[in-house]
Parts: sequence; C-alpha cells; structure tokens
Amino acid sequence: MKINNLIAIALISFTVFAVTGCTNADHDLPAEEHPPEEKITLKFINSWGGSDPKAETLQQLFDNFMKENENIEIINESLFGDDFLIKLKTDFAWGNDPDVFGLWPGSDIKVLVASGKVADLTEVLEADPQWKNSFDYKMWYHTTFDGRIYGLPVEMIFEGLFVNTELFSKFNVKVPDNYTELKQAVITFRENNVIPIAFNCKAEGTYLYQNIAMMIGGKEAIENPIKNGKIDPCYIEAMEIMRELYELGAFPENLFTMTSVERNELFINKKAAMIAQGSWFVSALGDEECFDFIHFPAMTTESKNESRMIFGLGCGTFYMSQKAWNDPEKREASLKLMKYLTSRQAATLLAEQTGMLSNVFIYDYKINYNKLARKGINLTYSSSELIGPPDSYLPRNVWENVIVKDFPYVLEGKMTPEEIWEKALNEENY
Amino acid sequence: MSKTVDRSVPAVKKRINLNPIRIYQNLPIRYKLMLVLNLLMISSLAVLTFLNYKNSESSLTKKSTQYTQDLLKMMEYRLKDYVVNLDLITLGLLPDNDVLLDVSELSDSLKIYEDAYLIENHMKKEIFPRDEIQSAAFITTNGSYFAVDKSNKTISIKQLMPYNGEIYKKVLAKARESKGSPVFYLDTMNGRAENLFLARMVYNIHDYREIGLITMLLGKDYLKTALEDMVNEDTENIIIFSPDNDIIVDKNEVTDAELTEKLARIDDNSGWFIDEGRHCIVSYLIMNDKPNWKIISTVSLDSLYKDIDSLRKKMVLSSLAIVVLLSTLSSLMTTDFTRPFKKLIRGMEKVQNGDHNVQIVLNRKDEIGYLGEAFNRMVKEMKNLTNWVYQEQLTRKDAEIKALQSQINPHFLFNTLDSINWMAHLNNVPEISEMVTSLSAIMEASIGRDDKLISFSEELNYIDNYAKILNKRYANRIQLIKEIEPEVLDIKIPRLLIQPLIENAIYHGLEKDKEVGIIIITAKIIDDKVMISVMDNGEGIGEKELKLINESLSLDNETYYKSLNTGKRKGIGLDNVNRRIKLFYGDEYGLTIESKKNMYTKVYFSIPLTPVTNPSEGGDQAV
Repeated sequence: MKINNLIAIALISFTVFAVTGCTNADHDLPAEEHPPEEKITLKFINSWGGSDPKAETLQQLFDNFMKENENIEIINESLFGDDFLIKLKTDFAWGNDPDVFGLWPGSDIKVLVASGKVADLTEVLEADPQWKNSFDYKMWYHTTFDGRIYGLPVEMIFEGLFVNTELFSKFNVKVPDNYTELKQAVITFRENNVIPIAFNCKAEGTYLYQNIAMMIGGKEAIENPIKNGKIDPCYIEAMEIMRELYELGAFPENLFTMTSVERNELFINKKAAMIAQGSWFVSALGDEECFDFIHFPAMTTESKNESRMIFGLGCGTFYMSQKAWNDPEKREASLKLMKYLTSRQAATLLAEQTGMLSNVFIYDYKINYNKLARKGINLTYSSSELIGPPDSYLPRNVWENVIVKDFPYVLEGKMTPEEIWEKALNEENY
Repeated sequence: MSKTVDRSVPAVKKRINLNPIRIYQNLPIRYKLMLVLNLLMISSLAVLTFLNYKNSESSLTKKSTQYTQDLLKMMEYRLKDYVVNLDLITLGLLPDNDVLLDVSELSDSLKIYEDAYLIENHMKKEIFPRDEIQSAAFITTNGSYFAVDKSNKTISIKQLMPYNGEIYKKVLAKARESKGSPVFYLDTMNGRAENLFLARMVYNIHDYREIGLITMLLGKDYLKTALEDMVNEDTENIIIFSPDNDIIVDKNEVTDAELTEKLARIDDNSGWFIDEGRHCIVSYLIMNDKPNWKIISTVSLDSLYKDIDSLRKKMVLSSLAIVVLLSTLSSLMTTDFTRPFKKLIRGMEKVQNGDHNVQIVLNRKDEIGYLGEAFNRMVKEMKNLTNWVYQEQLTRKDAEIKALQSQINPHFLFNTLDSINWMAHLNNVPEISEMVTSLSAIMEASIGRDDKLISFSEELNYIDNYAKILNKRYANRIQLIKEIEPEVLDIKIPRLLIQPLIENAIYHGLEKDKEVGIIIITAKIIDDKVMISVMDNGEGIGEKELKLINESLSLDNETYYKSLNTGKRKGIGLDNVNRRIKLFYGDEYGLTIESKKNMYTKVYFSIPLTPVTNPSEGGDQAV
C-alpha cells in the first residue's frame, strides 16, 4: 500500500473520529454541566430571631456552617419572644416540623417528647463521649425524659432585676434590696414621671411576677407549684404584690397592649428605671455604665441574707425532630448542625458576642464578657439558691391562656389571684 | 542530451502577471483542480455553518423569548393569585365587625386590652402560617394600634408605620381613595421598595363610617422566592416594578437607573428587547389587573448562547475536520488524475528526445488508462516503423556495399594474380616480391580492415601500390600524377572510392595502344566541397556513349536499383563507385564523366567537406 493511501486512511479515520467525537459530545456533559448535588435543607427555629440579641450571632453561625457545608442549607425561622413558641407549636401541629429547634425547658418540650416528635439523642451522645463530655452534666436532667437524652443544653440563663443606676442616683433612690425599698423606688420614680418598672402583660412580661413568686416561695415551692390541686400560695401573694405595684403606678400606662419590644425599649431608652429580665437581655444593654444587674429584691419588708436566682436553660437547648431523624440524609445533616451549634467554638462566639452563659465547657477560653454578663455570672455563682424558671414548672397553656391573658384583670381588681389560679387549674383539670 | 523542463512550476515570466484569471490559467491542472475543489468545499461549508449558526441563534432567541413571555404570564398568574389571596386575608384578618366598632369607640384600657387580645390573636392565627405576610396591623381612626409581627425582623410594623406618621398618612390616603378595595403602598428609598404594604379601609357595616385601617407588611423575600421557583437557570434576574417604576423585587439587586429608565419608557403590555450594555434579553409584561406591576426577566445572552456557542465550536471543528478530509480526498483525487498525465508528458519528452523504448505503466482501466495504452501502442508503432525503415535502409546499404565490394575483389585479384604469374613466368625476377607486397597492401585495403572510412592519403597509398603493380604489368607505361591539395589529405572518405576510378582509367585508357598512359588525380577544395577527378589520356568515350554513361550515373539509387532488376547493368567499376558515393553522401552526389574521343577521359565527383556523420553516431554500417 502506498504511503499516500496510508496517510489518506489515517486522515479519514481521524476526521471520522473527530466528527463522531463532536457529535457524541452531547452525550457526555462536561463536568461543570453535571447537575449540582441537591442541597439538604434544614429548617431551624428558636427564639433567637428578630430583635433577640442572639439573632445576629446565630445567623453568623449558620452562615459559617453553610460555608463549611455547601450541601446544607439552613432556613432560619427563628422568631423573637413569645411568638416563637406559637409558631413552633403550630408547625408541629400542622406537620411542618422543624428539623432542629431550640426550646427552653418546660411543659412544651415534655409534650413534644411524649408525642414522639423529638429524636432521642442518647445513643449518638454515648457513641461520642468527647461530645457528650463537653456539656456540664448537671444540666442533662433538664433535657432527659425517662432516662433518655433528647436535648443538648448550650445556653444557661439567669434572671434578676436590671436597674438604671443613673435614674436611681438622679432621683436619689436606693437600689431596692427588699420590697419596702422597691415600693419606695416606685413611688419616687412615679412622682418624677419616670416609669418605675418596664412591664407589660405579655408572657415575657411575667418575668417580674415569676421573680416575685420565686423570692416569696423559694425553690421547693416554685419547682412543685401545684399541691393537692392548689397553686402554691407564693403565686397568690406574688400576684397581690403585682397589683399593689400596679396601683402604685409601677408600670407603663399602656401595659395591657404594649409589645415586649416596646417594653424592653422603655428600659433600654432609659425611660424606665427597672426591668425584670434574664441573661439574654445583657447584650441589648451593652456596656453602658448606667445599667446594673442585681439579685431580685427580697419580697420582705427588710433585707435578708439569702440570694436566690432563677437559673436554668434557655432557648439555646437544641433538639432534633423525629421527622428529621427518620430521614437519613436530614438526620446526618441535623446532627452535623447540632454538633456545630454545641461546639466550643459556637458556644464561645455566643458567649463573647451575646454574653451567653455557656453550658458547654469553655472555661479555658478567655471570654470577654460585658460588665452585666460578668455581674450576672458572678451573682449566679454567689447565689444561695438557684431556682428553675417558674413557668417551666407549669403547663404552658395554663400560663399563657389564663395567667398571662387574665393578668390585666387581676391588676385592675376585676379578678382575685385566687380566682385566676382557680380558673387556670380548672382549665388543666387539676 | 535531453531537455529538462519542470512542468510542475510554470516558467517564470519576465513580468509577474497579477491578473487572477491569468494566474489561474497558468496554474498546473493539479493546482487548478485543488483550488476549485477546496474553494467549493470551504465556501459551501462556511455558508452552511454560518446559516446553521444564524438559524440556531435566531431560533434559540425566539424560543427563549417565547419561553420568557410564557414564564412572565405564569408569574402574572401567580402574582394575581398572590394579590387575590392577600385580598382575602385582609378580609379575614379581623374578627367580627362589632368588635372593631367596639374597639374604635372604647377608651377603657381593660376593654381595649380584651379586644386587642382578641384582634391580635385572631391576626396571629391568620398571618403566622403565611410566609407572604410579615406583620399585620389594625389601626383605628382614634389611634388604637393592634399589631402582630412575626418577630423574625428587628423592626415592627408599629415602628415602621406609627399612627399619624408619614407612611400611615400616605397609606390611609391611598386606602381611602380606593374606597375599601385593597391597595399596595411602597415605602421606597432611591427607587427601591424598602417595605411593601397592603392596606384597605374598614367601614362600619351599619353606617359605613370609617372604623380604621387594616394593613399588612408583606414579605418581599416571599415574592422573590415564589418567583425564583419558576425560573430556569438561564434567567439572570427577575424584577418587579410598580406602576411608578419603583423596584419591588430585584432578585440580584443589580438593576440600575439606566434599565429602570428604559423600562419606564415601555408603552406596550408585553415584549422584549436586547440590552446591549448588560448583554441580556430583557422581557417584560405589565399585569392587566391591579396592581399593574411590570414583571421583568433578564436572560443573559452568554448563558443563552452557551449551548449554541458550544454547537458553533463543534460545527467549526466538524467543518475543519471535513475540510481536512475533503482536502485530502481532493488532493488524492487530483494527484490520481494528474499523475498519469505527468507520466504521459515525461514519456512524450523521452520520445521527443529519441527514446523510442518508452512504455508508461498507469495500472488503470479508465479513460486515462486507455490514453496511456494508446500512447504505449503509438510509441511502439513509431519504434517499429522507425526501426523498419532505418534497418531496411541499412540492410540495403550494407547489402549493396557488400555486393559491390565482392564485385571488386575477384576482379582485381584475378588480374593481379595474373600479373604475378606473368612476371614469374617470363622474367623470373625478384621484383615479384615487390609486386606481391603491393598486392598484399591492396588486399589489405580491400578486405583486410574493418575501418569503413580512411583518410584521403591512405586511399592515395592504395592507389600508389596499385599503380606500382600495374606499372610492373604495363612496363611503367603508367604515369600517375597527383595534384592533391594538402588540406584534402586528412579528409575521411569511404575506402577504395578512388582506386576503382584509376583502375577504370588504366583499363579503358591504356591497355589498347600500349603507350604511356598519364593519369592525373586531382583533389581540391572548392567552397564547402572537395572536388576529386581522375583524368586519363586514353582513347576517350564517344559522345553518344558518354551521354548514356552519364545518364546512368546520374540515376538516384532507388531508380538505379530498380534498373538493375531489369538487367541493364553496365560498367561495374564506375557504377560501384558512383552508387557508393550516392549511398554515402546522398543522391545529389555522384560521378560525372567528361571525355573526348581519342583525347581524354575525366571522371570527377565532389563530396561534402563537412565530415560525414553516421546517423547512428559512429554507426556500424559497412561502407
């Protein structure tokens, strides 16, 4: 065969190969044209949304997480304050379960666990001792039901009284240590057209009432509020005190319709001298010198040497829904997210940026807490008695639908504390 | 001694002719064919590729704009649903009208609290499950504010739209104007909607007095997400403009004043245009019904033509591959077509140069193959013809010469031997040896050597020897006088060309009267010829006879040989010489005799001065 013919055959073969190669190119998608891996979407909700001081940090954590895990997208549906609970419960009721959620201890989580809507994390924690041991074991009991661990406690909370020392100084009022001093402060501030206590008749507003009850009743009464179908008297007495304070003009005028944001702003904007709030509030106040945090005053005529404090877990207690657990892909992604949210890095960031008191061990980290956070932590450690949030020991619907809802009637004297509690307990068939 | 002509490259002209037609005409056929085929092929492919690309581009643009228009229609339907849905929500957002009426007139804080609880809880139930609503508020004419926020934003509706605030007033005015129908209000900054409100007035069903304003703060992200779900990956941006050309949704937040201005000028309800600056197709549609928003989608041309660009690359690559393939094929075809012609041309050149053994091998059965075979046959026949004619002539010459020579030798030998015999017999003298020596020289001249041509001087030597012998025989009665120009001595002539003339002169001039016979040999150059003559003083030839002899001598060889066949042969010696001269030098040469009875006879002839060249370069023929 001649060389020319060989060259021709080679060229024809090449051409046919090239042409068919071109034609067949359609069948093989280039790497960049392969459909991207479908993202796993995780729905998250807790109360760190909207105007909550932790909202920004939480979103920052999610952004970092999503950057590290490009196949996971987090839809953050967190809502601030009381609305969060309504949405959470509505979502669960409608089958629109979140994948990961945060919830403070109380009757709501108990009901969710009992309804089989929350994933049991005992085994995954057991399988990863390092992870489990990163939490302070003392808090496990808040998230343990029937011996099984369901929640991962990251945020510890404390409550007390925030005071504007500037206003106290200005009107020469003593920062209250007992009820007498509290009333005196109320009177003085009212006389000077300063709202004494930022309070509203929403669920969050009842921190004041809960602190008063806690100071009257103590640990045993708060943690076992209902005995023989009757509410502990501390709650009755606390309500009487609330009405007395109302009558003294301790609260804003539109307290019945005021939103919780408006209530907080009264204090933040220095229009109110005091507010009963929790540790989550410290970052909203910044480092301003005028604000201080104190143990809630004793509800006695004279000061006592006992320093009680409401202390427990906040909404930074994370759970996975059973629905997410049942989906292998979501389970894996949710666990990844939970490990991230409960990591020491995340806890540190929350502590540093929001003053959160972490239940994840971050002692070896130097946290630059603000003044109020430091004070709160110090007061927590120095308290003679730490008591769980009172509303967490009562059924949520009782608290919200009766106590919170009818509180204005008590303040207005339209209902007695006994009547309201009787109504509440009857509703729950106690 | 062959001519070399490079036929693949046209001869270089003195002046370079730039006329394309001339250039084309001067191209070798091979290049012509390749040029034409490649031009046809490349131009066809280029045109096809271009048309195909343009068709695809136009078709893709058409399909894309059609798809986008359909998409915008779907978006319009979705937005209509959205608006209708919101309308319905506003209707169900408030509890019983009596409650509202009550609220609008109450001043008791506890009663307000109760109604607020009722209204807000009602609103919560309505808006919390709906992603499209961020907040809702019912603001009574006397300033009671009932609001629900989803609280995932840091700002509440009450903060955004406080009672008697600027936004409130504007919303109220718009709602009043629409007489109970829902209206959209955009709180804008720099042409972009910061907040989107939907509001309607609430009237007392008993006396149609205004009770208040119900308004919802709508989630812009919802709109964005809802519309995003509908688009494909090519859609670069989705924008919704209000009738006042404020941006409500801008998916990528990239819409600038220039595009806004362009879109503001649109006066038809739907269409598209290409935005060169952004390098995208902008499709638009204006909602027929309220809120008469403009829905715009932009599709990046880069993204749109990504596939077609890929197609174009493939087409170009395929075309190149096809060009390579076809070029190769055309080159091969052209070579296949022109190579036999080249061979033919080379063959012709060889034939032209005298090579009659050329045979070309084409190995094909087509017309060109036939041409090759015909050429081969032609050359072969040419060769045969040439050989036949040439050989015939040579053979004939050879035969004639041999015949003539064979006539000379016996005759001469006979006479010589006779002389020797005579000498020995009568005188018994030693001169015999001398004669024999001369004889042997002559013998050598006639039969001994192969040289066909000898010099004139050699011929004279033969003649001397011959004369010597004859003088012995004729007792020195022969006087040989040579008048030879020296230049003639080296001229080559056929052997024994003159000797027979001497012999003829002696026999015819001397023998009869036995007196001294003078024989004069002259040879001189006149012009380009050598004139040779042999003259004797013998008895001469009669006029009549002389005429006959000269006529015979002047015959050309062809006629002469034919006359031989008729038996009219006469004068072997002179004839022999005469025929040899004609054979050797041509028919125009030959012997002529001049004579006068009883006085002299002169035989003369001329030969060309130019050396004789053998047709076959020193050929082999005997002379």
